[in-house]
Amino acid sequence: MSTGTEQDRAEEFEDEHALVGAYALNAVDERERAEFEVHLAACPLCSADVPAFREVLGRIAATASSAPPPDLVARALNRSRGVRQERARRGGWLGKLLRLRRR
Amino acid sequence: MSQREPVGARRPDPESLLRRTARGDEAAFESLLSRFAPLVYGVALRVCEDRSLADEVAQEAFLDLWRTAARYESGKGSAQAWVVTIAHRRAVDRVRSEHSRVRREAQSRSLLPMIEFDEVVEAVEAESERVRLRGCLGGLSRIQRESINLAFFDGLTHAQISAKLQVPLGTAKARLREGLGKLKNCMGVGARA
Repeated sequence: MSTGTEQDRAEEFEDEHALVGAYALNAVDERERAEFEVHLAACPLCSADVPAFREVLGRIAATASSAPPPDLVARALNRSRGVRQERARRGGWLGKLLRLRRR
Repeated sequence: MSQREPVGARRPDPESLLRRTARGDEAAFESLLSRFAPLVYGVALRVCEDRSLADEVAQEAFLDLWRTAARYESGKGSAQAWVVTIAHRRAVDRVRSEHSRVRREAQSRSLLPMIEFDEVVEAVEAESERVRLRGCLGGLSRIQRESINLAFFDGLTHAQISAKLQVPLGTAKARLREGLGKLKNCMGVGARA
């Protein structure tokens, strides 16, 4: 199976960023997802890669476009009526500061 | 309820529709759904391989879009990427909980021939985009391409992909990362800060 190439050996010491592609593709199990999200929150490299990979996947997804049932959108609109939306939250230090001040 | 917008009419960009949706604008939400319904349903159908499941997944994804629109930050990506992220996550969660084991393994879809990107690329409407996408996909190694295909369209985890492609555990996740990195560079995305 393994041919013992340089590359295989390098992958044995896999780095903490290794899961970034699988994560963007939802190709992780729940434990991996949770662990990677801890890494992601602190890693500028992966924080740049995840949205970029999602742009790529957004374009690939267009190849799968398919005519939906004609009433799909109408049903979705009906269901969403009366469903409460999340409110926007300020992120970052400003949001923290504002929330702190409200205490 | 308005009719679908006529082709060629000026259309607000989906990013602004998403921002308006976040403020509870139902008309904007309807335009957004009309715009992305084929994309969301198409992704759900490819992953679920079942029309009624795909329908449910699309409904759930649309509801997520409505509820969480305020989380969208336009500086971090396009509305299309946002929508696909939500739809794909829903679809994958569904096939994994539903049964993966029962249906997929029982009928044991053989790995090859799988639907090749090439065939599927025909579905993309814009010619220039199609050509570019094909060019970029052509720059991947076979394992990179198959790994991405299995993850995105079949909803497999990297561990399942490694098993299926008969490569050591850990190889698939490396190929997914490399493959997406190549596509990112080839497509010139991720430049926005």
